[in-house]
Amino acid sequence: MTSFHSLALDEIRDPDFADMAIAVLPAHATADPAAWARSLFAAYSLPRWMRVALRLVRVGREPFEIRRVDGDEALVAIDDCRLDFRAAVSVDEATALVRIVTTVRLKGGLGRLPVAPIRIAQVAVIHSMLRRSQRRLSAVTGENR
Amino acid sequence: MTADRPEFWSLAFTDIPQPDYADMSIAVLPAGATVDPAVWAQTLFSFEAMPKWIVVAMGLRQLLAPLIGIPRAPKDVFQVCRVENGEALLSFDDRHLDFRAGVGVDEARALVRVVTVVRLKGWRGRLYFAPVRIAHPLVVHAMLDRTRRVLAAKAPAAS
Repeated sequence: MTSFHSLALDEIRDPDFADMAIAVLPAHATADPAAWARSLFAAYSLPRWMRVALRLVRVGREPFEIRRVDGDEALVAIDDCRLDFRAAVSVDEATALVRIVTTVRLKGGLGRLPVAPIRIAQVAVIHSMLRRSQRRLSAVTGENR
Repeated sequence: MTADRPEFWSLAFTDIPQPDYADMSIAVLPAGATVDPAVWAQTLFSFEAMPKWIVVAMGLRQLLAPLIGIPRAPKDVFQVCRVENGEALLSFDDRHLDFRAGVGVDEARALVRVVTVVRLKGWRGRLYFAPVRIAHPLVVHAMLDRTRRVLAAKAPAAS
């Protein structure tokens, strides 16, 4: 099997849950993974309820920061007392696909009940963020990064 | 021509390189569990191993889909049609959508991956897939969790 590598899985090797959302890279859109990561995690890409929730949970801190860029992948990371979250955004020009690998490690203190909404949010929100960024970046050419 | 492929690839993209929807669910490979992707795929899509709420949801699908002109899914809809490079491929072309699912076992990284790729066909496909799009990753994860338990239980005991 073609080995699959992602910074998100490098940092959290035994995730409690892990997903990849995949979308077609729009024609003429930037192939810069950092630009995609910034767009994906910008306030305009997030559902309103999530913006409010993040303001409450991460008071005085940036909700999402790009921790590093390695090759064609940009890594967004959050280390919290409740969970660790990684999202690796990569752009594959050869296949014209954009991928977001998300991994989550839960850190005790969370019973079974609160995990369900986190999991639902992880998969549903990431796909909607990806669709919004696809629309937004489809108008942005490489020169406008 | 595996060597020419990009780092991430799945058989699921071979027929549908520009999908309308694609996702991948990832789970940790249980210690001692089989690394045969065909066994993982067959267990994942067997009704015996599926959580009951998914069996009920599939029954509802069979009842409701004909109302918008989508035929009932045949019994062999989830049949493994190809195994290559550690990945088992399931493939089905229907009136409203084409889907491919690649079930891969990465022994080196101790991960199991389920890649789903969908091409929608017309208004039926878009209407059908609107609710499925939201539920799909959760459904696959629930199936994957159950399959992990089933195949971990079948693993030979460590000596």
